[in-house]
Amino acid sequence: MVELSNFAEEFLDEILEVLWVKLEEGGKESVPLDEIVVGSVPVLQEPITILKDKGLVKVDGDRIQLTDAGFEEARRTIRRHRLSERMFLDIFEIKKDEIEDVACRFEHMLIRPELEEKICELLGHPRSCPHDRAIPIGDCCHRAETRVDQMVVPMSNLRQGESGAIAYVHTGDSERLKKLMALGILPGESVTLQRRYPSFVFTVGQSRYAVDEGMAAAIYVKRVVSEEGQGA
Amino acid sequence: MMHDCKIHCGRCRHHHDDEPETKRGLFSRRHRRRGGGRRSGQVEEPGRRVLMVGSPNVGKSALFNRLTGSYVIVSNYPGTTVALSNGRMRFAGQECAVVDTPGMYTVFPITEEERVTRRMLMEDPQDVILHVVDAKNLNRMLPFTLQLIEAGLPVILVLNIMDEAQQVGVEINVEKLQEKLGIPVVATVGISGKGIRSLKEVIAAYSARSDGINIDYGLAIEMAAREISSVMPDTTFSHRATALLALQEDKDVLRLLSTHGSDRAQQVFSVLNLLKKQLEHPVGYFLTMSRQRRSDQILEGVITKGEVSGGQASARLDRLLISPWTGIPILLLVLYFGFYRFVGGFGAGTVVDFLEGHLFEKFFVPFVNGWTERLIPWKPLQDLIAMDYGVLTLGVRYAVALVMPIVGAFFLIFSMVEDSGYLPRLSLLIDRLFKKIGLSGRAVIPMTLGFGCGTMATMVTRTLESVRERVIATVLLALAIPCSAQLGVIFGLAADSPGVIVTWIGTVGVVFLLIGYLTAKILPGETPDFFMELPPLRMPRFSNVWIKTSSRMRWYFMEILPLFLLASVLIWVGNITGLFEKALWLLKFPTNWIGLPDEAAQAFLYGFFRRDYGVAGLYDVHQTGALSGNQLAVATITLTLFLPCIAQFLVMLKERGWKMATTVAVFVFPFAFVVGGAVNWALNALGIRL
Ligand SMILES: [Zn+2]
Ligand SMILES: [Zn+2]
Repeated sequence: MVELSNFAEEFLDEILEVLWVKLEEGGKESVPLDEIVVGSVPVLQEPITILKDKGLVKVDGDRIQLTDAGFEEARRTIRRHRLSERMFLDIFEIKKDEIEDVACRFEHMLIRPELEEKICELLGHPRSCPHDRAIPIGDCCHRAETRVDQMVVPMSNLRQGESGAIAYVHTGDSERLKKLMALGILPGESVTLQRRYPSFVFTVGQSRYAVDEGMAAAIYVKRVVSEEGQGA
Repeated sequence: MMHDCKIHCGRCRHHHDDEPETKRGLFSRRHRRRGGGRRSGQVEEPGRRVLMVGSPNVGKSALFNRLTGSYVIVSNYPGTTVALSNGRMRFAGQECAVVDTPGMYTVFPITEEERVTRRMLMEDPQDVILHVVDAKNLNRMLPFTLQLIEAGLPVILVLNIMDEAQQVGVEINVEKLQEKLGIPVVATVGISGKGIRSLKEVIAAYSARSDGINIDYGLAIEMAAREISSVMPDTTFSHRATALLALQEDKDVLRLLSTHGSDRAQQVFSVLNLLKKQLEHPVGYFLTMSRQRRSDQILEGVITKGEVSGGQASARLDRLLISPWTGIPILLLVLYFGFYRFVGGFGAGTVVDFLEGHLFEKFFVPFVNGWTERLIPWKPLQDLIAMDYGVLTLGVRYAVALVMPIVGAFFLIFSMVEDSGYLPRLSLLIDRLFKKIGLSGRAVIPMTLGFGCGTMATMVTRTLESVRERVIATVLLALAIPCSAQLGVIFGLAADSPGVIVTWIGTVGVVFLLIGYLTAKILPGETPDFFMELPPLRMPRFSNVWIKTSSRMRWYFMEILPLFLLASVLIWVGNITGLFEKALWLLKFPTNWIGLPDEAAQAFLYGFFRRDYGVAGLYDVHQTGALSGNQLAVATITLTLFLPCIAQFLVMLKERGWKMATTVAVFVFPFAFVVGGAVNWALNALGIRL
């Protein structure tokens, strides 16, 4: 087997990601080789050969497809990439069109599974990236389904009667942000969710508001976690 | 100037459109004289100009009444203050013109109505701006005050509803706040009149503008603002404030800029693009956060919060109202007692019987007919004034004896419901359903108001956020929401046959949902967000309810009575020229086709002119016993779906443009008959006799 530099590893990951996305979009088993583009240059023969040697892809004529091992590898890479995107948007509030870039660099630091899970947990085990593509599920997400101990969650995930502090307002939609800001729903304010149905009713300070589910999902709240929840 | 502004600022009928920039000074003066002269009936220059601004639910209109002693629609719901209210305040020999505006939360407008207010702030020089806030929510509202001060406007901060603030344990050190802000601060209770005298004193004595407040927005924004403020157009705002709006890509400011030549706009855009690259959020986010921080700093040591107490009963009632299990039965009770029993039973029954049956039938009509015959020899002129279709005997009679009691009863109930804070709760209850037809819960206000008067309601659709939502609401109002005059007569007509009422409600309800659903499918765009502040439940005050009801009725008479009279004249013209005869002959075909007798055609024809004429005409037909239960159901359904009245059509034309108005008209006419025919066919096919 060939010894690879860090850079080459990252490059191979990128190819797997591109391949995954192509398959995800096309809904087909395989894609033409010349559609695999990383950055702006078509992929050369050599990396493909390496991937083939590693048993991650199969090449059939001018078409390429993932093997089972390759599928698993790509899944994890995609998950790390999309989690990173989510983190830069939700926590660091980097602008959406710049996320891609930073996320590409950051995902490689998430190779350690504990770190990946920590971040997933912090984000409340998100199911989609900022571009609305699915984030593959990890072990932590399975475990979390039985436990509700996420820290920062959309207000639409709070239970009736639960309180917290507004962590941030989802900045994906500036119109929505504008409306919430106009009402005085701002980071740092403490909120209590009073009702979930038929609309979300909550208090901020002395004021009460009613919003629909979409707006409630745009308000991210840092939960007040109970003692036993803290340890997990 | 703004080129797209078709909205006149309320009663003064002042149009902003197409005024060349150079005329601004002159233009403002002319507006001032007209605005002041209209109410008092004499042209005189009022001493000072006072503009009231503030969020919804802060008791602005009640305060306005206290200051001016004028009539105005007092509203605790965003959007129902239909127009700006003008009044005059007299104090110590001084006279001020006071204008109250629809609620707005920040200088950055979201809805059309807020835009109107912002334009007034920016374009018309004022002597005093009263920023009215809810004292218990001061920390949420102070950033707006800071914006106004920042813009260099002459602001007075009014801490209103102090009584509620004290009840929830909020204490405010007014003097300290005044010192920190550098502007006058006055505490009031608008509803009881506490603090009004000192407010008047402060207004009368106010002359100096504040030195302004400069909030630090961080290096990037500060540099950008400084860079473009020299090219900002002149408004009543400081150049810095206009620059900050431009950085938030405010439509009005950018448009204003583009009229000053493309190089200025170009400069602003290049700065803006550079700035956007440096920032991680929209500019507005940083501005809002900085203002909130500054406002928190200012309030430190000024405001103390005690324990929140009280309101157990009101909290329980609130829970009942917003839970679907109890909320919907309560809604039905409100509808049944408020609208069916009170508006339909009392207004359309008792009062109409008395006015129509006694005063008009027995005294007014014979009296007018007699005198007309005696004084005017020419028959056609007699018909214009009196007889069956005369201006007095038809127009005035319908307006006063039939429509006024019903509309009055409706406005009374609506004002009470509105004052109690029930409507926002209804909005959140119904939002999910409304989403399916492309509306948000917010649309509950215009829709409910439509049951009173479709014309007024079409105007109020302005408070909805997107054009798409406004269009859907307008279509539904024109098609499937009967106004109170129609409702009253329909309830009266079908009072003894519940089957007819059920068929009618069912069919119109289905049409409402179906057409809403289809319109939402056809129109491009997204379902609107629903967000709303819930004011506390309050016991309606008699004085407020009275003021609201009477000013709405006055509005109704001023706007609607002339149209009634016009419609009478048109009917007269139609009759003497023989046009109606031809139209009637034509209309008989669809009328017969949906299973109705010839006489009903006349009701439809008059329905063109006034929807309620149509129903009232039907009333006459029904009196002769010519209609079976089935026919009555078919007739009421067809008439409800029928074209909106002339007034509503004109408002539609004004608010939505001729394309939309004519499309609706062309669609509605055959549609009403098709639905009527379908109901008739279905009833017969199922062997149902109502
Ligand atoms: Zn993504
Ligand atoms: Zn997870």
